[in-house]
Formats: sequence, C-alpha cells, structure tokens
Amino acid sequence: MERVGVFVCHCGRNIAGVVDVKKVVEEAKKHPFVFHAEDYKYMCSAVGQNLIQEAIKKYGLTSIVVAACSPRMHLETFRTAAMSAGLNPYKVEMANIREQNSWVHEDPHVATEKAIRLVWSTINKVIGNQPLKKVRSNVVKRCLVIGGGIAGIQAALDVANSGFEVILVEKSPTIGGRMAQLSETFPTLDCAQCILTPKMAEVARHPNIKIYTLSEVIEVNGSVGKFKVKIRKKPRYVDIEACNMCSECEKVCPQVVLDKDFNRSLTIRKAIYIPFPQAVPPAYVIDAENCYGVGTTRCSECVKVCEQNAINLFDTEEIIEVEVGAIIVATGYDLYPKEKIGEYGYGRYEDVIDSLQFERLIASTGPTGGELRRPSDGKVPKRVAFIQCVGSRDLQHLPYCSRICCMYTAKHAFLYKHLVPDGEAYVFYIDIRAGGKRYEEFIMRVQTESKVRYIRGRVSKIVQKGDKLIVHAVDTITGKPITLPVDMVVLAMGIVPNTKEIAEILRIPIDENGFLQELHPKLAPVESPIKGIFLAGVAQGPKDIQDSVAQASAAASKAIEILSKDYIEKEPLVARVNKELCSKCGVCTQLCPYNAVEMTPEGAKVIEVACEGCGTCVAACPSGALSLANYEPKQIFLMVDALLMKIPIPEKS
Amino acid sequence: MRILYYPGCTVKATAIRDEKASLAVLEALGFKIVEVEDWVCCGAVYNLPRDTVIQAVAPIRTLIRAESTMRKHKTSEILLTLCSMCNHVLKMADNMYRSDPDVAYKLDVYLSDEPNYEGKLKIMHFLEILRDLVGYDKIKEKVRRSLGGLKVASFYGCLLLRPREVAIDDSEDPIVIEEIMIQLGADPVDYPYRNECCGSYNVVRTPEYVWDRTKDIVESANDYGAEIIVTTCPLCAYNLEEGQKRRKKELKGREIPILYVSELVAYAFGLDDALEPEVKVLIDRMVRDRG
Repeated sequence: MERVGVFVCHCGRNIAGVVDVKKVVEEAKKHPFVFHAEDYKYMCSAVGQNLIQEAIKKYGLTSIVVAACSPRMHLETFRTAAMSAGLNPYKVEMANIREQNSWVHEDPHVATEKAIRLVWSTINKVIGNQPLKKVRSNVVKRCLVIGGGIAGIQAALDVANSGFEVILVEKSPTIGGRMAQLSETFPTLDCAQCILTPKMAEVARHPNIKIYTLSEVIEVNGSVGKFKVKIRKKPRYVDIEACNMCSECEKVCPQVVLDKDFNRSLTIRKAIYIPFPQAVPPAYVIDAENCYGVGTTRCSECVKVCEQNAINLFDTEEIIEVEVGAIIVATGYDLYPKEKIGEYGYGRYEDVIDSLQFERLIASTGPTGGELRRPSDGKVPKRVAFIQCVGSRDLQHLPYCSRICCMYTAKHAFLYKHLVPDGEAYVFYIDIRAGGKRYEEFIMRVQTESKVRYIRGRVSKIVQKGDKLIVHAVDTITGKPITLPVDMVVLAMGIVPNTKEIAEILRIPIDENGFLQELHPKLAPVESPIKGIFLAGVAQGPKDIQDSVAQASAAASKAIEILSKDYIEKEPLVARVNKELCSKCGVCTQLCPYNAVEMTPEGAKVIEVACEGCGTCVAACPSGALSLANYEPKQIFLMVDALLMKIPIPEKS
Repeated sequence: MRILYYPGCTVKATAIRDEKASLAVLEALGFKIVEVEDWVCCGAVYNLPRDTVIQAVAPIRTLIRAESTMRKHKTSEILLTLCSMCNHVLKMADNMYRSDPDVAYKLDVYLSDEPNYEGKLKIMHFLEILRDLVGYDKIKEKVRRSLGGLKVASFYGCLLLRPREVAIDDSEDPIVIEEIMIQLGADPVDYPYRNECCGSYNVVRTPEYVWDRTKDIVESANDYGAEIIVTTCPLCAYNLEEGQKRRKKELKGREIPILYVSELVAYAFGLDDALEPEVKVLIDRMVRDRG
C-alpha cells in the first residue's frame, strides 16, 4: 500500500500570497493515499528538506509530492533529500503551484482550487511511479570534428592534447578553411597564414589526430558515448604519403581551369594542383571534374612524370565507418553571393568584388603576389569604395548582422592605404559595430592615421561608365546625394552558414537563418539539443576568428567532459517497447529527434542512453506498443481525472 | 475576354498615341476593352502615411466605378492600366483598402455617395497582360514585321517596379520589356539606368534636376548602343524627350527617339492604323536603315 506525503511550500509570499496553503494541505489529506501533509515557508531550505526526511522515516512514506516551484528548479534537490532518507528518487514528484499558478493568477480562490487539483493530480501520478535506476553506458574515447577551418582545428587540437583520439573530417583537399584565404587579421594585423599554418602543422603531426580530407560525413547513428559515423572519402588520385610536392605533374598538366575555390576565380590553376603551398596534407590533388585522365579518355601526362609513382588515376571513393563518443560541428560559412545583389550589378561588373576576393588580391600568397591590381585590366585602383552591410541587415536578403564586416572592412581600407598610399579609400556604412577588445581603437586608427573616408549612408546603385564605376549613394549626415566615380568596389558581403546537409544528417535543428541552434543561447551556447554533439564557429552564428577559437575550445572541453568519463549516466525516464504489440512499421525510428529508436528484426528497440523521454514515438505508435516509463497511460488518465474532478470552490471570505 | 480599362488623364491627352496603339494591340490579341464609366483622375500621387487617406479617395472612387462597370457590362475582374503612375496609384490604393480596415472605414465614410468598394478587381498593367495573360509565344506568333535587330533600350522608370507589393517585375533586374522586344525581333540593350527614376513631377518645380537625370539616362543608353528608347510611362516619355532638347550640347546632338512599348508592338503586328504616321515612318526608316 502506497503511503504518500505531501509538502506544500509557501515560497515566502510567492505562493502563500495568493494560494491558501493551509487549505491545500487540508484538501491533500483527503486523498485516500495520503498519510501525511504539511506546509512550510521554504521547503527548499535545509530545514524544509529535513522536514521531508523526518516525515519519510516517521510515517514510513513510500512517495512524496512537493507542491512548490517548477520541477526545473528544485526536483533534483528534493529527490536527493528523499534518497538520503532511503526513498527511490523516482518516487518524488513536484506539483508546480508557483510558475503555473500563483504567479499567473490573481484571484486567490481560483488559484487555491487549481493548486488543490494540481496536488491531487500529482499524487495520482506518483502512486503509479516505478522505482527506477539511472541508465548507464560505456563511452567510446574518440571525438569526431566536422570541418577543418580554424574552429575545427582548435577543437581537434584541444581534444587531442587531452589524450583522446580525434577524427577530423574536411570536405576540401586541405584543412585551413576560410582563415587560410585571408591576408591579415584584425585588429592586430597578424598575417593570417603566419598564425594559422603552425596550427595546421601541429594537427598534421599530432599522433592523436587522423585527418580525412575530401571527405564528408554521410550518416550518423547512435547517441552520446557511441555514435556510429559513416564518412565518404572521395578519391584524391594522389598518394599523400608518396607525393613530395615536386610540382612536375603540375607543369605538364594540359588542363587549365579557373581557381574558383581558393582564389575565388581571380586566377587559374591546373587540373592537378595544390590549393596553397602550406596545404595540409601536403600533397597534390586531381580535380576530377576537369582532368582528362580520370574517366574515359586518359591523358596520363602527370603519371608519366611522377618519379614517386604517387598518382593513381584509378583511385576510388572509400566509405569509412568509425565509432565516436562525441561530435563537434564546425562547418563554417560561405559569403552571401554577390550575384544576388541587383543594385550592385549582379556580379556583372568585373571590378565589383566581394570581400574574400579582396583578401586574395592583397594577400602576399594571392594571384598578384600581394600587389593590388584590379581584375578587369590589371591597373592599380586609385580610388576604392568599400560598401558595408551588403546582404546583411537587409530584409530582402539576410535579416541579421554578420558581425565581422565592420572590422574586416576597416582592415581592408587600412591595408589598401598601405599598398596604395596615394589612393583614396571610401567606406560606406550604416553604423560601425566594433564591439570587441581593441576593436574601436582599430577603427579610430583607420579613420585618423590612414585617412580613410567614412561616409554614413547606403549605396543605392553602382553603374559602369567607361572604365569607371559610378557609385550612387547618400550621405545621411549631410543629407546630400553623392555620385562618386571609383576604380574598384569591394562589397562586404554577409556570411551564410554551411549547415543544411550536416544538420539533416545529425538531426540537429537550425534556426530561421540556417545557423545551428544551440541548446540555450546564454547558458548552453556550444551544446546542440542532442547530447554529445557540440557546436563551434560560424556554423552556430556569425563570429570572428577570436570568438570562433574561444567557442571551439569551449566545445572541445564539453566533448572532453564526456570522453573522460568511464560511463554515461542518465535519467531512466525513457520509452519502452512492448515487443508483442510492435508491428515494425518504423514510424518511431523516423520521428525520434534523438536517433534513440532502432529497428531490429524483433521490433523497435529504444537505446536508453539516447532517449530523452520526449514521448514523440509513444504518441505516434499506431499499435500502442510504446510507452514512457512513469508516464504510463493509466497514470495520465488518473492525473486528468484529478484535474477535472469536482471540488467546490471555497466561498470568498 | 472582356477586360475593364482605366485610361487616366494623360493617356487621353499627351499620351493618346500610347492608348491608340495599346488598345489596338490588345484587340488584335482577342481582348474586348470596356472603358470604366465616369472614371476620374487617379490623383497622380500616392501618399505613404496612413493617417491621411485623402489621396486615396480619387483612386478608390475610380475603382468603385470600375466595379459598377464590371457588373453592368459583365466583364472580367481585370482592370487594364497603361500609364505607370496610374497603375502604381490604383494598386497602392487598392492594397491599402484591402489590408487596413481602419483606412477602409475612413474611405467608406469619405465616399458615402458611392457604393462601398468590394475589392474584387485585379489591376493589371499593359505589360503584365502581355506577359501573364497572352504569353511571349503568342506575341511572337502575331508578329508580321520583324524589328530587324533594332537596338532597343527599355526604360522602366521607377513606378512600375517599386514598391515590391505593386511591382510588375524584379525591381533590380526587370526583364518583361526586353522579353517582349525579343519576340518582336529587336535586340534589347542592357544598360544600367533602365530602372532609374526620370525625375518625375519634379519637372514642375525643379526642372534642371530632371534634365540632369534624363541626361544620365540617355547618355548611358547611348553608350550601350541604343537606337531607340521605349517606355510605358507618359511622364518618363515627356521628361526623356524634353530633357534631350534641354541638354542638347552635353549630349552632343545625339538624340534618341522615345517611343511607347505599345507602338513597337503595334508596328510589329502590322497595325499601321494604330500608329501616328510620323511614328510609322520613323520606325520604317530605322528598321530599313539596318538593312
């Protein structure tokens, strides 16, 4: 026979100011299973907890209901307290009579009646609760990092340095990401390659890191502690170990193509190429789409000259399967395409370039060797307009602020003035967002020391006239329209995340702008809603290198927290399958947001460590084979009965 | 198909050429045109603030009368407009009436001498009818006389393309006039000023400003090799024509004829009666000169 104890909290005046707590105690005592009920000012205090523990011992209580705040606040407190008095923690439930009652109702009579119903309903639930034990499972001590940009590199290094194995998956032929394309970095103006390549080299030689380039994650199953991952590794056609980067193959390759990726169509490369000299892994790669040798016709010029015999034109795709305990997603960003901006020429004018193209044009590793030449005729541009917020903060394009453009545009203008001291630089801006350590000072330096002209106003249109571009704008400080002939225009394009495919594969949510959704914007910013999957870099939201690195380290430490455990323990409030009723239709496996239901020949199987107890599968199961522990239908009907029962509303006093 | 037609003041006066050609083209394509009875001026300006609705009284009055005409003559709900400004004002007023009950109530009070506006009309510009109801293929079928690769610069102006709620095409990259010109055998010129504002009614108070703008537009069309500029807006047509005379020196005497889109369509369809004789001669000469 169940012996239930009910404890009603005043929460100072929070509850007692509206709810007649004495009346609630009185009514609770009328429940046939209740052996003891009392109220106290603060149940969560040490005295209050003590009260509960004493009562358990004194009355031999088998279940506890605490009518107080939200279970999110103090359920753990009361469960722990009950446990030390010898009760199973899952025999403790809370009735929320604060957030869902006293805080939202003004009429004390109604609030008191609702409190009584909530308490009765919770009593009806707790008597059906099973004493459960936490679920345990082992942890695979290996971490998957998706994306080899600066965020992925940092996360991989941090996890690897803690002694765990890391699989780093990168879809392009080299790690390095966007940062490798940059010239200098704000606000300190370190050369991007100079600070990035040591980290790339560290990744390359780290015994705990395995890099898969030209690879994509195609399937992920399982859950925290043990994810089963499938990786598709596309053929490189060049043996990474054998290639000694002698470049003979590149010299003889007859196929010349536009370098669309690394140099953003500003120059050409061969079909066998290396993205940039410090690429990791340090090996050539064949661009199969453009090579004459793979496929039907075989030119094989490169094979003939390769003394290392490193080239294999018959290389094939590989599917690699690994198990990992945690996953870090750092898939980075692309620029919003300038071809979508009609007023700036839809990409029709050669000398209207995007910000990454400008980075390549001024980078010492770039197509012009760091000399600034405009793309159309190779002349040095004597007057350049930089336009901020292109695509960003624009309801027709991206509603959000891309956060990095104010700073990189200042850097662009600064570097331009260094390369072309007699040139004029104009920056068109809405406002300057320089919220970061030494950021505002950098903007000041650019405006004063470099004499870059900042004009507050939007550019309405760019038109081409002869070899000049005419910028039509408005100066919103003077209120005057401006017509400015320039030699080149740099568009500070907004940034868009590369998340669509990976979010589908990992079944993690994305927000309205495509960025990966964090568990909590303030208190869990690197965790995805799925346990064991963490977020880093721009994939989660626009951020600069500094913030990406910080977030990557945070994500790594979260992953290490899991990997360093011997086992994972979690709430046992999970779905259960009645195998006799299961028809193996598979609805549950498709709907489960946590990948926690598997289909086996015997029927659906719930992976208890992965199940979050959301109940989606239970509600969807057409044959009623699924149920949720401690939320059995019988319990729920009893709860509803209590909520709908006839309790006379006490007369107004 | 019987469609309603709202001419507007300018089309009945300085832009009568446009009316003649447009109606002839649509009739040749099988439309039966029913002019709205007792129509009034559209007001020529649309006011953006929502707290003064007086500017919307005239266009809504016209729309109410269009609805009466529709019932009386059993036409479809399509209301044809030719002038860019009329098209803009009628659509904006219609939008405002349908989307804001407070505004609709105020207008009903102002217009208590008329039946209430029911909001059943579909206002369509001449170009929209050609594109959406006729289709480019059918236009091509009707061509009797190709324009022989004539270099045509389309001038949209601003009101056909802005704001987005009433725009007939993409405001930054419109293609409808170019598409029609291709069907007629012309060679459209892609120049950057085709969707700029001509200066519009500033011609009344600050004409110099307008001549500056039209000079830029004509110069740009010239630079890209245009032989002729076409538009659908009577005010654009006036400003572009007059602007060239006023800025003759700066333009170095290179004058580009300004015609209505409808006139080139009528010419290509062989509807000579719908064209002013001098327009017919002008196009004849230009097409012939190209060989």
